[in-house]
Amino acid sequence: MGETVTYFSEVREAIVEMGGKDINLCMQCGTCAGTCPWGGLAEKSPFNIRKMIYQGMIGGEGFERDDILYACTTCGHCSVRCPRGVKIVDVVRAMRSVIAETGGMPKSLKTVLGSIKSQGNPWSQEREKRTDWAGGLGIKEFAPATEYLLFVCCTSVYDGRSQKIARSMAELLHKAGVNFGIIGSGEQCCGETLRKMGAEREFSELVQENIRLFKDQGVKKIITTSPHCFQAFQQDYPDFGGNFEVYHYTQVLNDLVKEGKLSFSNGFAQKAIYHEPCYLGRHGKIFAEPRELLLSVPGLELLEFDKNKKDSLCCGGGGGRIWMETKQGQRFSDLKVKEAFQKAADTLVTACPYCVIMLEDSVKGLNKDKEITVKDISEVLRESLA
Amino acid sequence: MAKGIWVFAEQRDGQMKKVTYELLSAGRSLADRLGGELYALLLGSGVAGLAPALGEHGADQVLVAEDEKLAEYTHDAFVGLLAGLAKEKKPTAILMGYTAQGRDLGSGLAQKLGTGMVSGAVSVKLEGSQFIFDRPLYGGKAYATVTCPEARPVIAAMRPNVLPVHAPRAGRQAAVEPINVPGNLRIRQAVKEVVLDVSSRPELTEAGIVVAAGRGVGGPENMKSIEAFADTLGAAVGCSRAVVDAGWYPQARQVGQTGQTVAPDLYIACGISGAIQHVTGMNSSKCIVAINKDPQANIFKVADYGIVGDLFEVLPALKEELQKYSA
Repeated sequence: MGETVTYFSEVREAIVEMGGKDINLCMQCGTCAGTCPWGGLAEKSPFNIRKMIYQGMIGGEGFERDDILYACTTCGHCSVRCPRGVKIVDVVRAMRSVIAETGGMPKSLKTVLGSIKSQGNPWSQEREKRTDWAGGLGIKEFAPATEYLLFVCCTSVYDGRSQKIARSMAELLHKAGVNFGIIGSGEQCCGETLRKMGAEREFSELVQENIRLFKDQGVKKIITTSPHCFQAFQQDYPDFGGNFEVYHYTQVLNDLVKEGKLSFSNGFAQKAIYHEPCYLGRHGKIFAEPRELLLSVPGLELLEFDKNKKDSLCCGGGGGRIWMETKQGQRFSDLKVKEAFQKAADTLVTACPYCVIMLEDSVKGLNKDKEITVKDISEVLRESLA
Repeated sequence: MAKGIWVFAEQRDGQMKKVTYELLSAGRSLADRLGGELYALLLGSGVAGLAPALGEHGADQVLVAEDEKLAEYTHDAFVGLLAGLAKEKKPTAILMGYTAQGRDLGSGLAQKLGTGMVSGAVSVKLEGSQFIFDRPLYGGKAYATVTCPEARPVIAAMRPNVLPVHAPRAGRQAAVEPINVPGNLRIRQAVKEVVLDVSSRPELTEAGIVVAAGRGVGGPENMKSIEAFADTLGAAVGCSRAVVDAGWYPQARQVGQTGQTVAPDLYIACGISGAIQHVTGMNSSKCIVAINKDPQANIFKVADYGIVGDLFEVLPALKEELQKYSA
């Protein structure tokens, strides 16, 4: 079908204004698209990051489609290789912000936005049930004398499967004698996903509420269970005046192991393959700690994916994608599970609640649930506690 | 003749699409301003009976092409026939709905007639002899005002449900003129089957009771027993994403984050493990009953009643009990 192409340079200006000034640096070489995991999938996708940026530059129509603008998982692989150092994830979220400003956003993300605004979590679950996961664990409420705030990702707060991660974390910290607490029902989502969806206004409101809450409670150090909260607290919150010492749990636990406060003796032979969460690895630059932790479990054999560390393949769940449909043949997590199976791993281990959901979905979808179990590092460690 | 406004009268199975009347209402005003006539182009098989209604809605003339070859829309037949006719009769503008048919037809005509096409417009007006259209961009976030300055006819696909329908004038008659359908019309497309998604069951999102199937049902053949069970309750049938992925049930019936959100009085989850993406789509249901053979399944955390057991032992027993109640 032939439809007219209309040029709007105002769109480029709006993208720059929304935080995507790097769009002006792009020279359209296409290294990004060559790196992007959306290329070379079994099922071809209309999303091409180079082309999408070009459409943003000329203000052409069509980029705002759900399967183009919202295909990007914000995994950040392209940025690693971009010869001009374009912060491509910033450009993508700015382009999404332009669309969000005018009320546009995929339907399933609107639900997420609404849920965060009304219930403080993206999963349409009740605010009042925020601490249900902690039942029977004897976790302290955060007080000014508490050293660490354990900030549990909404997913591990509400998803029955993911609650195991939160519970494992609490047990490990108790075991190591760490002085930590949770704020409880006053807590809300970190907002990371809002920003990546382009809901910049809602994001900034939420961040300011969170910073006020943390400061009122006297929070100085935060342990996150999810690399997404970690990235937001560490890299986005300072711009809003929220300067906290932020740790992903793998950092804290690894230190505790080195200090001899945690040890694992209940080793059972496992061939574990480590899936790098993009927000922990590429975004958070934490590569060593998860591996060291896993290797501190006696009897655990650690395998690697062919593409790992800063070149690792995303699970497909970032950038709001976890709430959107991905066609069969386009699911990155399927590729990861297939490779794990090929390498005869019995455990697919990661350190992110989104990755766990995506990978577990693929394990089930590919009928490999008898051969491979998906676990978070915290779960592996808790099961191996002395 | 040169001031004629054409409206493509889209119909399916002898039912006129509402957009046709919207176009006729808009076309009537344009034709009056131009001092020209409004034509409705009616193509199909057994559609002549629809012509009077087109007259009542404002058409001055109805050009009818009746032929079995036109029973289903095909690009070659419709574009071929109308392009030939347009070359002969030289209308000023051709309007159609921004529908699957209209988009295909309009772009084909524009190409054959060497003119431009305005796609997805929401309004049309005349400034002098120029047709001025507004069309939304970026999914309605911005509007562009466009025109087709030189080439004629102006072809435009107008979005359905936007333009108002003027009240029909009963008894207003249009001249009906048959169009000759050439016997040698070359049609490369063949419509083999039209699959309509019809169900005698209630709408998923409106049903009081929803019976939903998960991977635990085991295979597509077992969807029949789920449907049969749903029918004893007058329930709608839903499913989890795993079932859609496996190709056992259509995506339109998927409940969850990327499917439908439902909140019935009663939700019966059959063999659904309860992944959070599914739960998001149904946990506002007033009463949730879960049947699953795994007592650890997450679905039991959101269920008001849980039945641990084999689905195909539980369902028949449940059905039998329910039938006693309804008897």
